[in-house]
Amino acid sequence: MTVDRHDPEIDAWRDALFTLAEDEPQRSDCPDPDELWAGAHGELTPTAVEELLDHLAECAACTEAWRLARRLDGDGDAPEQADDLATTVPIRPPRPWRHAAIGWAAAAGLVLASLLWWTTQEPPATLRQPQGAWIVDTVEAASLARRAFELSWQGPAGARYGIRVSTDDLRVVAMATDLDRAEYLVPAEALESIEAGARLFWQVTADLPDGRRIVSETFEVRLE
Amino acid sequence: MDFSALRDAVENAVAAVCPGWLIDRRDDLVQAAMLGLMKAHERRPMDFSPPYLKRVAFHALVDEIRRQRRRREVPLEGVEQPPRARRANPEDHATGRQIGAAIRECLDRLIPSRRRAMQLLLLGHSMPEIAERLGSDVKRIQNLVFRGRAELRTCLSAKGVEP
Repeated sequence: MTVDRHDPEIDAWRDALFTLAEDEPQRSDCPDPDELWAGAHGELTPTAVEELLDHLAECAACTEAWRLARRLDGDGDAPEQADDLATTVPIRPPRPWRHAAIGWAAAAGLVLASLLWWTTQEPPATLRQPQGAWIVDTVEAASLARRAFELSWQGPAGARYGIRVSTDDLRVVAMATDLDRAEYLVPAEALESIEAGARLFWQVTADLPDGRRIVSETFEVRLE
Repeated sequence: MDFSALRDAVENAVAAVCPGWLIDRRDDLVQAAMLGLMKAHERRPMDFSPPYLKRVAFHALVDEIRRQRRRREVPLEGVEQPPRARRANPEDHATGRQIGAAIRECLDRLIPSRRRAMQLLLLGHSMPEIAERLGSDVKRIQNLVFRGRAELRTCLSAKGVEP
């Protein structure tokens, strides 16, 4: 699901944005160049960066200056290395937790839980990701409130979804099937016994119109 | 301090980063950067590490660019004005400006968290860099960018800007 900063569409948008700098007048409220340099090089607090970006949203000249700061330091021009890139989200068949800390016993328990869950569903025709289809987590916050624990995802068009939410000791907190929207509000009463700060894991299945089923990777979110 | 070698380095840097509309004023930019470096050297002769040099050169460049921009807005009789960049195809530039303006308007419609993540992406930062600068984690930034990009695309499409 990650985006390549050198993606052709991103490059085209970037080039178009930078054309604005040429014809815009010089504003009187532009930050000191040192501040722009510091922002471009990660030397400012997040709050200060946000304030700078809010100014850049209206000032093409400072946007250009920020870019100059990066280029002067040799950043931003070379094609990205693959380390932080993943242009596709691999869809895997149900499998043990990815987190090493859980341990094999817990992993075996999860496999059992998954098998029990799957046996209540129609056997899938395939679990491999069809071309162009995927399920990605679109929850933006790292933690959600107890009374607003809404999970959302992006999935293939026309799919019906199932979802399972579990604690890190594999206890199923909530489940739902046959959802026609890519979102699910976990009932507050289901979270009553969960302590604040706990990690919750959730997984989505998508039943496609052609009869195939896709299973997402396991996503994680905390309870506020 | 070998200012001759330093000037070569500054010339190369300015050549790489000079805005298109200031191509004809590149020498002025180099001079401004060199003056800034020499003044800085007078103040702090022992502190001339490459990172510091770049920072000083950048400061001088931006000051000069801003000065040139202001000069364009206040035409004075008898004073040579910085010329606009000579373009091979002015129509392409005009189209680029229209698209740039549309992108800016659409960015402005995003919620702040998504807009800032998209801004940093458009400025050439990687996901880990964006996460660090915004005090967040890569996962959240990926989600912000994913949604921000989709919204941007939809907004641009409504304005007739297609990929």
